[in-house]
Amino acid sequence: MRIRATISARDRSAWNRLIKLSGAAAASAALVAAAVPLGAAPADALISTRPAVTLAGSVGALPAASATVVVDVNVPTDLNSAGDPQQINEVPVASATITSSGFSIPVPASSTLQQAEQQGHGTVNFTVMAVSGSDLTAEGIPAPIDVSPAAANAAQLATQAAGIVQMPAFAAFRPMTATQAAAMKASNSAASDSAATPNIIPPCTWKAYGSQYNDLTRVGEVHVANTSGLSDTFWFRHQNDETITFGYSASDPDGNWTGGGTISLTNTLSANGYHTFGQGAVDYADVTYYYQRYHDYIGECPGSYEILAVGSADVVNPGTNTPPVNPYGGCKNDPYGIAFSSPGGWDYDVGRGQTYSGIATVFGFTFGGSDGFNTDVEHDYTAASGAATTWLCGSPGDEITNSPIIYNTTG
Amino acid sequence: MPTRRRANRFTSWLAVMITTAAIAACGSADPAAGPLRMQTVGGQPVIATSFIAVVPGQTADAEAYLDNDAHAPVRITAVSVVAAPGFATARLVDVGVATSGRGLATARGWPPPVPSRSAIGADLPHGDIGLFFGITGPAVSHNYAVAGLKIAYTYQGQHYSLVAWAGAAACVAAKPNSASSYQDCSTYTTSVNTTVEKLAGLST
Repeated sequence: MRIRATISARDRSAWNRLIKLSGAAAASAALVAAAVPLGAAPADALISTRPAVTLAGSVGALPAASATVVVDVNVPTDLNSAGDPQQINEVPVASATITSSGFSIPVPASSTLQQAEQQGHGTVNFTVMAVSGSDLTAEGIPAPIDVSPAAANAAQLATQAAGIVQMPAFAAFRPMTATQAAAMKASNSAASDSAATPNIIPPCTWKAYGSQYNDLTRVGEVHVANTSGLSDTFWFRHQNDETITFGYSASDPDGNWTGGGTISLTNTLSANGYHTFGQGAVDYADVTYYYQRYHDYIGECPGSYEILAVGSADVVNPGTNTPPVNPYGGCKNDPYGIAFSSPGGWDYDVGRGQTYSGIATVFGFTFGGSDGFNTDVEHDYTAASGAATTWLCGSPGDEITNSPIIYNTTG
Repeated sequence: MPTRRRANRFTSWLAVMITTAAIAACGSADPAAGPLRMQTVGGQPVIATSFIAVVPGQTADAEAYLDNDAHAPVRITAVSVVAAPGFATARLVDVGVATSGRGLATARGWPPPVPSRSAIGADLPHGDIGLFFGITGPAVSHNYAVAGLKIAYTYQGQHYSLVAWAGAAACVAAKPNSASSYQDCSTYTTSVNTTVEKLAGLST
């Protein structure tokens, strides 16, 4: 349990939503060409020749004989009064030329990287863009570089120790738009053949397009036994680490989105939101998220439009639809079930985030995501006087301490 | 099983008595460097704080979540409570090790209503371990709490110890099933939990 305070619906500070681009699965990488730090990147003085992190993966089959791969650091700027970035600069910090699908690009320490580390509490948000002939592809991913051990999860600590981030599979190469092709050509004045792979991929600038949109977004679920006196208070700590997908569109701000990777939101506030779910509740828990579309007016970005989650509120509400019930029919039948007697309470302080495929649909893009797995989600079960003994359990085959979903049943 | 209960109480008392000696006898091993740890999720220790209202003499039962990193067993030699500063410290009555996957949110009376065996002298295998403990306090209409357990154990002949954070409150009441006892205990445990989270480094 926590001391319950009234929480404003939108209590956010200037830097409380730094966008991190993320990915998940690993892909084996083959280094084909040495990385070439782009010294021309603005305000990007090299601090050390030792790589801060290495990004590795595969961009898939190349449409041309070679591809130029550029690693950009995402730097949110021009925050509005609500703290939402009105511009996101993707600053090139390393590049490589490859002749097959694999890449492994060391990213040197630089002032840009350092700035991004500070903004992201040790995590830097990268976009890796590859151009081959007149086609391009891109993927976003966060890299934990200097997350403090107290705040890092096990995966982040392992990545930091290894110094390598394995990127998920990239989307297939797609033809550049005319605007993108013109921008590439302008940056590669020596390249007269439009089919040739550009040697230089310019920095990318996203500017906010239209108004911010708020939508309830699924962050978890709650199951309360159907017996008098039982309740579960679902806590959502605002200093969270929500991982959520984002999209690109080549031409349409209202649709035709393709997945561009994953983002997560890092907040600096430590306020808590909560909702108490009563007897028999089988509900999703939703939190209001803020979404923003961005437009590339020049043609230097991986898409013409981008849609991102840029922040979250701290009020928890019951969501729509009903989550599946406990698959054992009851936690007493679960080999990892735990007994819960009254009058008492059980406050589980550490939660693992559940990943959902459809947490919100905004402007035609369906987001997926998972709340961070640390102290961000908390379940506070109480059994009032006279309540029957009930049982708690987690996902099938999982101990409750390792499960992103907690069930509570009478038998 | 009164005989077993008496035996368990004796071993519990013995455990508390030998805790200091066991820790003092750590020898050259770093007491905190052994293989027994708290379970973690995402790098954070797994902690639950529980409460229950009990009648005088009855235990409030709770669970601490441990993990034996070693592929050889560790043996628990003693267990004592870790006080929650600012709260009356509950008395440790007994400690048990889960013998199935089942666990405990909160329960009244010892032994708990899930399979367990005495913890003192128990060899704990590799992997996750549920450690049940029962606490109580002497005075009616008083609340008692602990912030966790201090566990002394041996591994390959060396002595080690571990503090496992596990907040628990025993609210001793003449009528524990009354609404007022429940509410009082719930409010009390909110404060206990805040303290335990700070001690465990979970507070932000």
